[in-house]
Amino acid sequence: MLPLRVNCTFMYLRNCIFFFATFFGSLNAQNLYQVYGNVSDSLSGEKIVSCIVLENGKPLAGTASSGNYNVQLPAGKHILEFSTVGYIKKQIEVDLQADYALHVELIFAKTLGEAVITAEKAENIAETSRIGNISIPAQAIKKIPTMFGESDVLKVLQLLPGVKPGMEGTSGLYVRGGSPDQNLILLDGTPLYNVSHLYGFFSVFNTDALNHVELTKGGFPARYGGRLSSVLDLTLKDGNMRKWRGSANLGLISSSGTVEGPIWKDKISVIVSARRTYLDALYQPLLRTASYNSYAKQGYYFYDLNGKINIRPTSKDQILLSWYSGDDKFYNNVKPNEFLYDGKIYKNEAKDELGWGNRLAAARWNHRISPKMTSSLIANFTRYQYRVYQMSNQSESNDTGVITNSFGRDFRSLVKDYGLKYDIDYNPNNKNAMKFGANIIYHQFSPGATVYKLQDDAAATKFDSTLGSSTVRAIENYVYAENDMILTPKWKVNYGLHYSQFHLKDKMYHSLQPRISARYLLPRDYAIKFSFVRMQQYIHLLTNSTIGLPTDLWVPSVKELKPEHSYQYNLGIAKTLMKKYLFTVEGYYKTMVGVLDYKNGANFYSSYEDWFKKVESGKGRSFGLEVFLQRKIGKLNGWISYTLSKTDRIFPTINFGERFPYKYDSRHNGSIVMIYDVDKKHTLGLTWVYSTGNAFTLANTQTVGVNPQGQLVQVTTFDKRNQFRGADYHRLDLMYTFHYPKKWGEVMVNAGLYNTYSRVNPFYYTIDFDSNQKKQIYRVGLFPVLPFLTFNFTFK
Amino acid sequence: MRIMVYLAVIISFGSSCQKAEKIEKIPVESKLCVLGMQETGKNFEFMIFRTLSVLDNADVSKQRTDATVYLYHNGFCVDTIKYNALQQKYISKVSSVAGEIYSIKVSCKGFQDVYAETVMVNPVTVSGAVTYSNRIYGKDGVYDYTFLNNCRISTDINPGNHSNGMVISILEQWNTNPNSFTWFNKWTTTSKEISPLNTTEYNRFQPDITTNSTVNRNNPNTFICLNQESKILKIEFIPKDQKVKFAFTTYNRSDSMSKFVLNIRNMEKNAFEYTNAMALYVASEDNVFQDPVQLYSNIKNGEGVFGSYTNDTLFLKVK
Repeated sequence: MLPLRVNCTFMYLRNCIFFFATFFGSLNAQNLYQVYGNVSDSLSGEKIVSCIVLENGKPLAGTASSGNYNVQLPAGKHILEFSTVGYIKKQIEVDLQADYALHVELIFAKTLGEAVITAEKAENIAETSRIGNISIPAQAIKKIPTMFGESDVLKVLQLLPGVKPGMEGTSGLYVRGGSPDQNLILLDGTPLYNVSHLYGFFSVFNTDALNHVELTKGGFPARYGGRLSSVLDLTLKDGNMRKWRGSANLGLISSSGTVEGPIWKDKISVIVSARRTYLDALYQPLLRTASYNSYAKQGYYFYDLNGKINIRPTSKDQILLSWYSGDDKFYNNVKPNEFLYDGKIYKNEAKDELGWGNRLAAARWNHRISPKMTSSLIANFTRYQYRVYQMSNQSESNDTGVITNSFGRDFRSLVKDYGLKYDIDYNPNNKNAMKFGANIIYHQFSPGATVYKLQDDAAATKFDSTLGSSTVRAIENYVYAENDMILTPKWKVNYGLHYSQFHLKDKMYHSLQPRISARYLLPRDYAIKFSFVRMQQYIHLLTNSTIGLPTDLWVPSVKELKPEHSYQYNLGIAKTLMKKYLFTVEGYYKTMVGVLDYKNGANFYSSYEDWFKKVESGKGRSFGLEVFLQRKIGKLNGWISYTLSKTDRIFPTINFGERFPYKYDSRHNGSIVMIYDVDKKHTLGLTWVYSTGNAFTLANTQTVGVNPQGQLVQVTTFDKRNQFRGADYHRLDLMYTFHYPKKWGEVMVNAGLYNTYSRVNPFYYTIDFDSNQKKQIYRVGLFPVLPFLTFNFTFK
Repeated sequence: MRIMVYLAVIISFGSSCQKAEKIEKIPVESKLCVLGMQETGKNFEFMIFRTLSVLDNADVSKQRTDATVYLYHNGFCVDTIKYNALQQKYISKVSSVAGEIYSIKVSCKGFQDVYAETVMVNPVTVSGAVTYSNRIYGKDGVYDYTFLNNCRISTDINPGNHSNGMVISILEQWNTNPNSFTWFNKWTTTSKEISPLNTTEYNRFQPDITTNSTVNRNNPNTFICLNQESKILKIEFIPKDQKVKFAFTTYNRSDSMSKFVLNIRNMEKNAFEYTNAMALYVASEDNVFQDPVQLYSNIKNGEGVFGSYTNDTLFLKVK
């Protein structure tokens, strides 16, 4: 039984749909017909997202994330053109006398050779009204050099304007001055909480399984909500409907494999993708030799497992079942063992484990209700859990009995969501593309509870108790309506409303969020764009400001702690230059209210206190200018980006109430990404990144203080938070790829260098004595030049 | 292509691997650091140091002996204090009076004059105390040890300044040496007599067990942990009655002769903020995963603290 307020939101949604459908339906003239269908890859049957449908060079519609499209045309003959980057454009003539279903298959350009690729032209960026939105072709991600040669979508996104990485080598995303918890990361429409492995050095996404990647930093359409700074929408492949194929990657750190194929041709397909590190398996014999205890076993590993089943029961329906599981685990265990000494039998066993991971499952039903209307129903589950488990059992036994000494500690922190989402796409005519939807999420937060168990027979002690924060349950729901509307040939507007609620046991928060973005065409195909959005966020990530750990806690807004909200204003110019280059210049100004930070001296480890008492709520602002030049087609593709930005925070007591720079505030950021297909066999990749130094809090003063026991102690202190500006960051990565075609497929060898000129980029600063015994501040880097070599196998 | 690879390899190995790199000094202006935590009713005492850059090799713990402290009461200078070499402090002839406001000016050649002000807090009276103890028996049925369980204390506090804070400490007095108090936080690291169990086993409990806490009267929930062996179960400030009520439990083993000493330190706002920050500083000193703690100071143009406190003690006997 849903709460009354939730029922009301669904009724509100129903009424909205009825109103909009009636209103726009009336605009539909009687002699217009629908051409509708989906666009897919000719070899695999995989849907193609963001394909443009044109007539006489004039765009009519684009494919949605489900690959569906529909356009409205008058009766008679028409030549429709289907075009997207990387595929050969296709022209189809239709003679309309009634609504017409047209399913289109496009041929991947590479299969016809390089000459065809160079003949393609880039999409016209001036056409869309959206601003602050970038899509990256999934195929390009593998060609961009990254650390250890592990292709990583998040590290590629860090090279985009307005996006900053966190620490060296990690997958953190700091978008337009926001924190990582302000990014809504959707995997097939389902939020994922923790997106990294090994303390952030690797992302959880297996690039072999990705179909489409889209990042929105501003100008959010009404369908998105729940986070302030960005939406990263990742769509997984549906699986090859025509034939079985596979791929495998062998790397220095991990290996992965993907298998996809039809279970029932053109009806049911499946894709399974797995990845695992194997350092623990390789080093285990060495560690065991080095250890005095032959029963000891230490190591670390992570794994990912993606899967998806794609069912097309009818031409109107598609059912997708997808799941993801991934874990990280450090372990240091002593296997059960026993020995005899002095007439007594001693038994020992111990476990020390640290693990964290995600589980995600989603079932989606895409349905075409009518030529003009499609719907999507998603039921999903997502969970992130962090766990520290310690256990030791020791016992001694003789003829008189057994004395046991055992200890157990089990710390868990988790967030669990059950969600139900319904979206409708309704295109009443070629001038309006509408979306409506509703979502309800049942959240369960357990920010940290510890179960202790102790048994000491010798001391007659027994203890069994659970300590720590209690579980918080909440229901979050929202409804939205948006319309992408062509007002005049020059004006295009995307407007909408997003209304959300967050129900706690003793409190309810709600928010009405208007969203608008618009485009005006200037002469010579320049487009000027602007947007205004309000966003609200009900969940937060408590994290320390030095290093991102899996111990970071996801917590909800509570009575004592209000939700975060932001206003963002964007203004920009966009143009497609010489039919090959996408060029944008965007300025933004964002204010954030309710951002969190730990109070002075508070940290996660003092778990005896409720988490909301350890944090303080404040304000933030961020503004900047982004320049982006991208080429997606041709032998040479990639991008050049530059960002000029500033971001800061203010809290009532932190830094004595004075405004201070955000830790990842840096004035200038830039990147150059180049992928050059020398010929069919050789590809070169290059990335160079530059950013002015981050803000650090560095103790600069030493003096004497009195500790709480009244003793004098030497102390080091600082004037202001983040007052010290670190050294500039820059790095060059290179990669060479050799494609070796085989009868059964292709072997791809990647060799490269990370941090080619071995720049000592600041990881942290420390004070130490130099050779003359003088104190100096030292910059310590993390990674010198790192060569890498990976092998990829693709099976036809 | 080959040339590019060779070039990259040469550059890589020619450049230094992950060596730390020296950067420029941070300029820091040297200031006076005044430490003046005054107990109400006693003579004013100060210690005066200076601040130095963290990169300075000079001995920062050497006290300034050439400063002059001017003590003001109701706008009039009531004492001019010089360094007392014997006591190694700046000691006033004037004793502080509860509820009165005092200010200081400190001058020292080569430094900017510094200023501060404080109000002398009133003592705390304990208006009620109820103690309970649990006895634990050994396997042979013989009484083994006890601990205090859910003890409830009610105190009247100074109704003056609402920004005051309190530090609540629980100490144990051993029967073998009535004059010696043992801080609870020492028991895990001292003799087996005090901690008969394996130390490492018990250390695992520490993050969740607290004692010796500081409470701010405006927000009693924000008390902090100074040591870690007994747990404040509930702490409550009642503005109408100007009372603080709290309950605590100890997890320490004690024998029947042990006495517990409850110490309540009522602190003026500046003293409380400074102590609070210092406690956090000490607790986080070696935690690399935490931002450095920003120390509190109410010394204008300088560092340190000028604040007041009272110490009030209650003896609790295990029954």
